[in-house]
Parts: sequence; structure tokens; C-alpha cells
Amino acid sequence: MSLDILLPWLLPEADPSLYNDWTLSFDSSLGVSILLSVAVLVLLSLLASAWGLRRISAARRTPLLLLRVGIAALVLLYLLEPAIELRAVSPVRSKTLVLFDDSESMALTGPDGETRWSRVRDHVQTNEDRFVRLQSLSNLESFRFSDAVQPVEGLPPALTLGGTKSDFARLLEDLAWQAQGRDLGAVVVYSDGADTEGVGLEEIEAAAGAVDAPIHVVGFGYEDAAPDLAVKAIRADDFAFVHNTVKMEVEIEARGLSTQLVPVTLKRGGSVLETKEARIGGGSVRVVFEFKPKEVGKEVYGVSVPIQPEEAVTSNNAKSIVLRVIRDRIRVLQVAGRPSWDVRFLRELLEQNPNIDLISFFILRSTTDVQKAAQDELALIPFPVNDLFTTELETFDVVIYQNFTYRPYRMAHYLRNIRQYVLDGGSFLMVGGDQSFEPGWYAGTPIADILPVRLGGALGWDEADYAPRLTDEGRQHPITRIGPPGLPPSTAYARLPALSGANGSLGLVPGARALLVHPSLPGNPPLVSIRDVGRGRSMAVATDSSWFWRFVAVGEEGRAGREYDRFWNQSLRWLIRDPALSRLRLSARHPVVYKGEPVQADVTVLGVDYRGLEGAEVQAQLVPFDTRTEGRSTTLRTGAAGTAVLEFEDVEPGTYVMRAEAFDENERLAQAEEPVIVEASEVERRSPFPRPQLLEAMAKASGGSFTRISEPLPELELEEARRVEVDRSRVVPLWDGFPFLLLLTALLGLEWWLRRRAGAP
Amino acid sequence: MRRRSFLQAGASLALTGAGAGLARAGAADLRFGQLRHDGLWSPRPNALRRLAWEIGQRTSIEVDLEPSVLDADAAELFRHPLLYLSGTGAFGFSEAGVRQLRRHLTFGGMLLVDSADARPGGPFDQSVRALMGNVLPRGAWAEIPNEHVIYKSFYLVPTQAGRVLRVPSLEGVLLDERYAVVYCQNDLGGAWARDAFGRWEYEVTPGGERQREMAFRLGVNIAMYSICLDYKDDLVHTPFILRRRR
Repeated sequence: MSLDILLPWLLPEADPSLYNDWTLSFDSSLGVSILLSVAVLVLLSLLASAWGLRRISAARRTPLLLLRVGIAALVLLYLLEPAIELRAVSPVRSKTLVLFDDSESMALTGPDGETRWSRVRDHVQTNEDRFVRLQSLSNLESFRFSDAVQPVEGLPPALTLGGTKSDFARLLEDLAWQAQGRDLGAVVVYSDGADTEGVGLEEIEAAAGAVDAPIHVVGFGYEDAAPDLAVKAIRADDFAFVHNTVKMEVEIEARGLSTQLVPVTLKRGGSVLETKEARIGGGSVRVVFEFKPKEVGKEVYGVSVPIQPEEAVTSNNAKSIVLRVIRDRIRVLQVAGRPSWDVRFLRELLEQNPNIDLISFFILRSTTDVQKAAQDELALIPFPVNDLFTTELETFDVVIYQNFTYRPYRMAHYLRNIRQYVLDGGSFLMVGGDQSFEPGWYAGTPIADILPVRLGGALGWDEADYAPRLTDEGRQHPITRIGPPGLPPSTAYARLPALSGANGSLGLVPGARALLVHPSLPGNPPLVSIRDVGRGRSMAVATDSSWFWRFVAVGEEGRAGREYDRFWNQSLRWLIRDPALSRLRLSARHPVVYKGEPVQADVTVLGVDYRGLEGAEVQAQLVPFDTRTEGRSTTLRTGAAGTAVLEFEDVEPGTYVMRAEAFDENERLAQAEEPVIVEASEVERRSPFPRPQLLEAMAKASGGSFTRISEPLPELELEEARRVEVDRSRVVPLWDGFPFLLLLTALLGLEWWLRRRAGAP
Repeated sequence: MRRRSFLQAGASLALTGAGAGLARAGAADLRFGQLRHDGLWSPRPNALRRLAWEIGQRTSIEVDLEPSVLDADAAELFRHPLLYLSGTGAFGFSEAGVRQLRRHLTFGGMLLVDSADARPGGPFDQSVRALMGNVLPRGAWAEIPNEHVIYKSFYLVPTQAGRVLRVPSLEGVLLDERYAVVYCQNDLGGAWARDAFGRWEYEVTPGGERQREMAFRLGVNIAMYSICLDYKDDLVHTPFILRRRR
């Protein structure tokens, strides 16, 4: 109803110019439940009255019922207290947001030598008239966005381009939230679209569609960026199994470069693993590398492409990742010169360990044995020397020569492979007997180069019984701490039967360590000795009677053979460098950090009982991965739980190795290393290219427009404001006046008269 | 004395000028431990020596030819992971012997039982079953199937062997997936036994010398099984063995 008709009727004395809007309201103070109860009662009364009128004619019943319904409606209206609110209202101006991308990529120069940001500034100034118009129609507000959305002054604003992230999905979520309940006329976005979060177009469209305002984007195309070739991403699983094939997918992105083949190089550590060619020309190409990690632990893999002429960003031509290599099962090769009890009990132990994948080869018949059966009556197979010691060798974690001599099998030239295998990170264990060490003719061979003991003129094989003697190192070392926790290490050996038979040697080679020695042979030759060789490890057990600790100990000493199990299990763990065996644990909190973030690692030092060692000194270094020299150093002391936090700040981008060495009262306990990568700016390295498709998708999904930075800003349509401001109002009740009472009385009287005439109850 | 002792002694002396000890078997070498019980415990006194000699001749296993005669409760039992029990007629062990034997077998030892009287259900057989009921009460006798590794641990042995062929298969008591007890009722020792003059002590029937050879092969296989366990079941051996069995 028009206010012109309503106002004189409601407030004859009011000035019509004071109000331009009205609205109906109900001011009842009764609760909803009471009103509903009354409504139900009224309805039931009407139904009861209709039932009472059923015997009179329809011509008389209908007016009566209508009157009663009218009366009931008036009663309900009375309770609802209806009123007319007269208002003087005025519309609210809508808001236009202008957002400027201030991420680092906006500082990149294009082919014309100008930065993206300077072109944005020029565009705003060139299209000033458009912004003046927008300002006249709406409230214009400027914001910057990258890491966060924040208001800024000026158009164009003065910005520092330092944002390390461009998260468009997050930006659109913020806008959608901002637009709720507010009158957003339009959004203008200046950006290159270089998203750092890898958002997809569908996700952007969905997010832009949720913003209740058109988004007009002024953006950059590929032609606005300098030529660039980048290793955009390296994709691999978080971890890989050692000796199992790993697939690593590398995404190479090229913009502004002619179609050509470029070499893509994969390095492990500093060594080239493989180089493949990729055909670049436009957009992204994928290169897949497949390789087998050789060592358990954390390995640094780097991918690089050559720097092209006129590239503005060269830091993204190489990228590295840290791959965590774990072991599925420990692969052990056991080669035994002949079946013996020592061989049998070791095989049984290894076979029962579910974490070990054991391949055994026993020489069951020698060249001097008598053949009393045809070949097809024998279950013997040829000794696959070539396969084992060439192609398959590197698939093993540990190679065991157990009382085995190489001479009868024409495999002298394979011994070089074993030496190289150990130097490259493998582990070699020689177990004694009358065909091992000196009597096995190993002196002067490549095997002698990797053994912990010196050969060449030593006593060959001595069969006497003896009780082995622990060295100082042996008392501390996990291999020879085979007794129950809490007891002195030597106690365990006193409870074990004497051993029988030992290989002599000329002592240790430099760098090797003896854990057990023979007590009576001249020079006390090492019985159990260990050595770090190259990147691998070697161990020598110069007897074939360790099985006494497993079986003879059960009968003669009442033991259960656990010392034997511990000795060999710990030996295997030491050989494969099981991190759990180290008394120093170093773990980077983040294997990849960005420039400006601290490089941090958790350090734990353990005592001989493998509990946290308080007060241990940790000397730590951060050195470049390639040169491993001239790094930064620091010294820490462990706290109550044997832990400390290692931290280096302000580290320049690059690949590094954190090294730590733990000491307890000047005794060196252990050392550990951990790689870490410090990346340059995320934006520079990963996303230097404009993404016009992303910007176009954002504009289209929101009903806005996409304009290239080289084109003028079009006339922008604004959404009309839906909200109004109420300047004045007055409420006029409809229920408490004389007309309402008169109408009710009239209806009641008419109903009474009709009822009497009809003779109704 | 060890089979290769002379050669090794020579080599050792040549290399080092110091003589390696020759007085006893090497700690890891095979030396049978023959169990002494209260019955007729050594009906074939020359059998084991001959088997050991054959093992030394035919395989790379280093053997001590002279078996050790051991009481079941002797601590020395545990220096002999492979024990040999033979006899005719009823026999028994002391309680201590039963306990020691149980411990031996449980912790990795093996017992070859050889019935010299070759009478299934006879007094020796009954004593063996009663003894094993005490020694390994949770173990159950089972026929060792033809495809078991014991028949291919060195030779491919297709048939049963012994002085006689009274029962068609070996029996055993399985413990932790290995046969801790292997029982032959065909008198293997009778087929192995050879006197000091080089004559076979017993005639082998019905197969004659071929059957005797099979008895030695089975003996070699049992010894090899006790040392190598299921080595010949490793996957690497399977294609070769299958090809030869075709």
C-alpha cells in the first residue's frame, strides 16, 4: 500500500515528507508458545462451533461460521499487537576493493626490463579516471595480499614486495567472508597469478564463485615474463626402501624459450646418477628417473637444468630434496666354505629373524670329495659366483664369508668387487675357521684391504680352548655388551663356555677397533674386531666356535643362548648402521627450510646403558654438502633427558650437512650427520611465471572480467547495495484504537443476531 | 683324526712355521654323539665310524671319525648337536637323562634313532616311543613326507634304505618346524657297519649293494640336514632340484 494513502489514515497530523518507507510489525510481548496455544484453542473452538451448527441449513450456517472465523482472527490479531512502522531510510554506498599482489614474484622483470609491480603502478595511474568514477559510486578501499590480506593507503599504494606466499584459494576465502552481510560492489585484483600453493583451476573457480561480487582481474600473460627454465617440482614418496627401485618425477617448466632439448641431471650427494633429455618449449614437461637408493638414512638428491641466456631467475634451475631411505628387510648373503655347527647356528638365528632376508650358499662338496653318484642323483647346484658377486652384490646389506676360501672357485677377481661394495657403503663380515683369514689365502687380496685385521705371515689357525678377553672398547660397545642390563659386561663372558679355535692375525689395521682379544696367543690377536671402511663397515670374528654360546652354554652353563643371539643381532645392527645402535641421534626438524628460517635439529646423547646422558658435550657443525669444509660450529650440552636442540640462524640458501660429535668427559661417544636444504625464496624458486589461466578462471567464475596489464581497464559495473540506513522511524499500533474495538463489537453483535434468527445454539 | 688334517698341517707349517693342533676335532666339525642307555646300546659298533668316513669322503663336512659315547645326562651332550641312539630290545634313561635330552633337542639338537632289530612294535620300538613321550611330551610322531628336505639335502634319495626294508618311510618328531628326532626302523647301522678287515658286517636285503649305497646316502642326508636344516628348500635351489627329479 502506498505511504501516501496510509499516512493520512494512520497519522493525519504527520508531515508526509518525514517518511518514505513503512513496514508492518508485531509487538506482542507474549511468548511464541503462549500464542501457539491460544491459536490451537481458537481453532478447536471454531471446529466445535462448526460441529454444533451441523443441523441447520447451509444458507444460515455459512455466514455464522464466517463471522466466527473473523471474530477469532481479530482476537488473535489483538494478541499479536500489530503495528505499522513508518521510516525515513537512505541507501548505503557499496564498497569496491582494490587488491595488489605484493609477493616477491611481482619484483621480477619482464622482457622489457620493467618489474611487474612498476607496470601495475603505471596501469593504475593510466586508468586513474576509472578509479575516480569507482570512488564516486562506491567506497574504494586498497589492500595488499600475499602472506596475508592487509589494508594499505594510496592508489597505487607504496609497497615493499616481500611476500613469500601467493595463496589465491585463501585470498578468495577471505573475500567471500568479507562479502558476507556487506555490500561489495566489485573487487579489482592486480596480480601475476603466480600461486605458490599449487592450486588447481577447479578449486579457484569454486572459491571465486563463492564470492558475492564480481572480481575484475588485471593480470600478466606469459609474454610479460622473462624467459625462464625451472625445476619446478620433484615428486617422490616421503620414504623409499633401500635397494628397491624409486620413481622420482621431475617437473620442468619453460617459458619464453624456443623448442629444444635440454639435459636434466639427477645427482645423489655430489655424484651424477643419471642425465636425461627433456623437450621444452612451452609449459611443463615431466621427466621420470628411476634408481635404487644404496644406503639407509637420509640422502640428498638434486635435479638441475642448464641456465639459459636472458634468464632473469637462475636460482630455480636446480632443486634438491632429502629422501628418507629405510630398509624393508636386511638382505644378508651368507657364504659358507662347508657345513659346520657354527654355520648352522648362525643360519638358524638369521633365518628366524623376520627382519632378515637371508640368502645362503654352502659349499657342500669340494673338488677333492669323492663322487659316488651320478650328477642327477645329487641335489647340488652350481655356485653362482658371477651373479652373486657382480650384478646382485649391491642388493645385499651384509655379506658374510664364513670359513670360506675363494681359491677353489676361481673368484679372485671378484674380491675387488667386494672391496668396492664395502667402500661404497656395504658391510662385510668374515667369520673364522681353518679356511678363513690367513689359511683362506686372503693376505694380499682386496679383501685384506677392508678387513679390520692385518694378514700376511700370521699364525694360521690355533685349535686350543680359551676364554676371550674384553677390551676397553669392547666393554662399551653394543656388539659385545651381551649380558643382561645392569651387570658388568665381563660377567656375561665369565658365565659362558670357553671358545675353541682361533685365527691369528698381525693385529689391527689403523682405524680398526678390537672388542674381544685372544688371551694367550702371541700379541693377543683380535678375536672380534670392527672397522669403518670408506662408506661401509667390516667385522672380523676370528673363531668358528661362537655357536658354543648358543648351544654348549645351554647344557654346560645352564644358559639359554641369549648371549649368542644378542652378539650376532647387535653385530648385524652395527654392520647395517642401525641408527638405534648409535649413542648420538641427530634429527633435523625440517629437512627443507626457506631462507630466513632457522636450521634446527634435535640431539639426543645416550649413555652406555642407552638411557639419556645428561651433561654430554656435543660439538656441532653446519658445513656445505659438496665441500664439507669451512662450516659454522657450535657446542651444546645435553639436558636432563640427554637432549638438546641444535640451531643455526641466517643460513644462506644451499645444501648442508649438520655434523655432531658427542663427548662424555673427553671420551668420544659417537658422531652423526644429517642433511638439510636451505631454499631461496619460495616464490622465486617455484613460481616465477604468471598464471593467466588462473586469473581468468577467477574472474570468469565470479562474473568479473580479465584484463591484461597492457590493456586499459574497462568500465566496471558495480553491484547495487542491498542495505539501507534508517534515519527516522515511528511505530503506530493498529490494535489499541477505537476502530478495532468497534469492528469486534459489530461482528459479535451480528453473530448473536444471526444465531438467534437461525435458532442455533 | 680329521680327514684333512695332514694336508692342513702341512700347509700351516709351511705358512707359519707353527703347527696347528691336531689332537682333536675342530669345534665346528661333525662328531657323532652315541647315546649309552641301560639296554644293548651299541649293536653296530663300527657303523658310525664308517658313516662318518663316508661323509668325510663324499661331502665337504669335516668329520671326526670316532663317535663320542655319551650318557644322556652328560654335559658333553651339548658339544654334539647330532646324537645317535641305537639298540635292540627294551631300554630306558634316567630322569636326569630325559631332562638333559629334552633340553638338547629343544635348543637345537637332533637325535637319529636307528632300530637295529628292525621290529616295528617290538621292545626297542616301544621303548623309543615311550622315551620320546617323556622327552618331548608335546611333540607328535609323524611320517616324514617324501618331499621333505631330508631326502634332498645332499643326494636325491627316492627310496627307503637300511639293512632291511621293514618300514616304508622315516618317522620324526617335529619341533619348531624342524625334525628334532628322526627314526628309522630299517637298521641303517646294519647297512653301514664294516669290520676292521674291510668286509661288510651284514648282508643287505632285498636290494643288495644298491640298497647299502642308498643307506649311506640317507645317512649323509640326515647328517647334512642336521647341519644345514632346510637349506635345500631355499628358493635358489628349487629349479635345479625339480629339473633333476623329472
